[in-house]
Amino acid sequence: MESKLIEAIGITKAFSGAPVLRNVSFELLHGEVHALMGENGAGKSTLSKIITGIYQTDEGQVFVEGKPVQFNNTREAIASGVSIVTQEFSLLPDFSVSENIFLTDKRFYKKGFISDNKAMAAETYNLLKLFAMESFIDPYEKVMNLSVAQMQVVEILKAVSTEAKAIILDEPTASLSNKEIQMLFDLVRQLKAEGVGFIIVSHKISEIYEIADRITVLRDGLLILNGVATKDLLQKDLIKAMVGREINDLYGVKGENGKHQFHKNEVVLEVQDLTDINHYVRDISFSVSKGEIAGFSGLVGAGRTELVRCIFGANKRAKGKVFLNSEEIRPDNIRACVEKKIGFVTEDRKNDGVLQEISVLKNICLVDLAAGERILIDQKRDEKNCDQMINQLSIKVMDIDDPVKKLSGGNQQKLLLAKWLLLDPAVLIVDEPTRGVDIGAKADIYEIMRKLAEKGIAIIVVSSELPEVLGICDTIYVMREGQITAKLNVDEADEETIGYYSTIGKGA
Amino acid sequence: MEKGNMTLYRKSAGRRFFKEHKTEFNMLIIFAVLFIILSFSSEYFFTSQNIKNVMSQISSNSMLAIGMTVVIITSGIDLSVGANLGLSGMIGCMVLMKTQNVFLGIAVTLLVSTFVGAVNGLLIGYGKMPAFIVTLGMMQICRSLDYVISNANTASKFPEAYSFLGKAKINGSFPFYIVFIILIFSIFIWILAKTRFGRFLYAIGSNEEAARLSGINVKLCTMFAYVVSGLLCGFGAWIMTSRLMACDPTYGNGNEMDAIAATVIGGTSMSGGKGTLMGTAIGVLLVGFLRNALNILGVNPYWQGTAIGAVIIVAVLAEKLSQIRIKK
Repeated sequence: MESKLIEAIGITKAFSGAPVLRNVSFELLHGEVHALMGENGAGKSTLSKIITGIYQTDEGQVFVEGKPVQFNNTREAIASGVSIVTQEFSLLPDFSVSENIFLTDKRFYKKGFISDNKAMAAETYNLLKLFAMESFIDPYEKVMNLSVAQMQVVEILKAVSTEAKAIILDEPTASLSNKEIQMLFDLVRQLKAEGVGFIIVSHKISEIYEIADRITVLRDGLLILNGVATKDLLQKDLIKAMVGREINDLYGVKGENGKHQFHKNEVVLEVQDLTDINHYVRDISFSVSKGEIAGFSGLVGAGRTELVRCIFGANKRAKGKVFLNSEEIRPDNIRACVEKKIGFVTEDRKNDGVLQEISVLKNICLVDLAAGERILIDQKRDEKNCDQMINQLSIKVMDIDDPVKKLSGGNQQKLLLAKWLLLDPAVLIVDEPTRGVDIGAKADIYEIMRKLAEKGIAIIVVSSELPEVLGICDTIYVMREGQITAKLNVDEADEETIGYYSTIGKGA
Repeated sequence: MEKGNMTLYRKSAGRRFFKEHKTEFNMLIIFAVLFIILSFSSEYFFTSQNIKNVMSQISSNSMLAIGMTVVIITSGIDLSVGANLGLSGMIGCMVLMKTQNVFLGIAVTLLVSTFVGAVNGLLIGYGKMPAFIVTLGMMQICRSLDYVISNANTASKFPEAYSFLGKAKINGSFPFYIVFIILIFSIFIWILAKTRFGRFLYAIGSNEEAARLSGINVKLCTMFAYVVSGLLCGFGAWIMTSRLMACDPTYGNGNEMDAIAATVIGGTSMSGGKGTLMGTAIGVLLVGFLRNALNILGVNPYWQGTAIGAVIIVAVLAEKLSQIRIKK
């Protein structure tokens, strides 16, 4: 009989009152690759973080090889043979590859504290050789000079060096090229043959079918499919389990003829031959019309965020032009864009979106103040604007003087939209409109965006969620390696077509 | 719009004021308690002469603390304030001594201090250099130039009219410079709370990238914060030299530390985005009166640093603890 490597029973977890996981069970066998799937916010990352001690469960129990465990941190988890490779790598950029792998390994410290770099490098080389990667990574190279794929390998080797029996990979392929993904999967298969169990957290269906033995699906914190063998699961059933509702419900009904009308001939924003200074995006041309929602799809690293940041002037341009209503916009100048009424909701709410410590009122009115000419603050005007936005977007706020950090992710996202709506924008760029947002707020945000489009605002959406792109956009641009590979009308687009153009398909 | 919904998040102006200035009220209470205890422990403490003494001691530091607060709100720091006070005061006073022109002397003092602030601002705002390094270097440069220009001599023999800021009395007893300090504080409290520049300083300190992406001219605003800090060093130099009717090249030495202490005790966060000048005013008073009381009570001067240091750490600790409680 096969023994269970990891077993989690009845895991329940809530963050400040909001349940994230409800009575979820999960198991991992030796030498198995088990995919943990679900949409953003389904709870898959939370579950993997509970298993590895980053979070503690409210209820339920985790067992490792039959023994009940309660890890307080990842160090304890690693000591029991459970490692996690998160999306944010835990590598030290200024240290070499071998130093990173063996940082906490007592064997490589003479008398307990003098590090033996030569032995570390030699052991790293042996490890690399084991997986036929000795020509791929130099043990002495500093981690900051590595590619994302190389860092991923280093993270996994780090886990291997601690004799990990179970390794959790959180979205491992998010920013890898196809070739790199294959290399990663080879490494996984090799370790799997030696009895290591893998949990792969992902929402990329095609890859999961390639690598996973079994699939568990979470949705809104509930267990939907519990460890079903991949070969017995049809792709469409898997999607249904993940999404769990008619897509139309979430994205709302479009206008007559199944799509909403926009003014095709009234081009608002036109981008010509745009190349950014780092060449993350090259020779991009497209235009957005009044009331159109244009979506940008593609893999992470395809250059979508870099493109919109470049349009907005946040990233420097190498060449190309951007026109708003046929008027050219000064390059590399955010304020010129704001003055011309282009809005930009960034992808990383926490790091470059909201001012966490500053009040809701001041956050909402920031752009209005920045774009305006007034030298003095008009408290009455600000309060009126703030009230109007809170009502219009139904933002749940207890007190407009509370710091923004007290709001939930969904309400913070609405607040960012509100901030730009006060500008009365002609173009609104929204990068990942619903990242880290719960289902309820998601539906609200889609409705808001649709209403804005109906009012005639041209909207550019960057999204990694295919159902989202297919659900709300009129036109879909697919990007790969910094270039647009396809322009699709929403009626002719589906997940497969987009997937094709974002991975292998050559553009017109 | 439903009325019912509105009342949910609407607060009266008074309650908003209290909520936004909770830290300052806490500090004010601590200050009041300390003041009362000290008044009872020594008969000399609560006398008009003593209070005037303290006021004169903190007068120039209060100017530096305003500038320091403005800069720290942007999550920067200005270590050059003490040396800038010394240099601008010295150049101004030497011009004053040579020309005996009061107006020219004051103008040169303020121009030099603002220029130093502008250089800091350019390097930090537009050059994107770390504020700590730039102002540390500027501190050394200013102090060194101070000695070079003065040849380590004290400047004096100013025209009598120069003493009007430092020595003039209202109604024959109330020092004019206190009115001046209150005026400057009021102006900067107003700038921080009610102007767009003030709001932007908080936004930059809270999240520079978010501020930039909201269309705020981060470079210019950051630079201006240091210009303001520089200008206030000039005011500090003016008050000090006009009060003492002399300028020694050591003036302002180490004053940046007192300015930082007052700012931090007043509830301004070193990580930026948070803090008010009312808090800083209380911080200035607290440090001033504490030092004075320790002298009156005959505490060994060697122990005074321990007392002031403990107050700084306890003030910040209390603030941290209250935040943790709110989170739960």
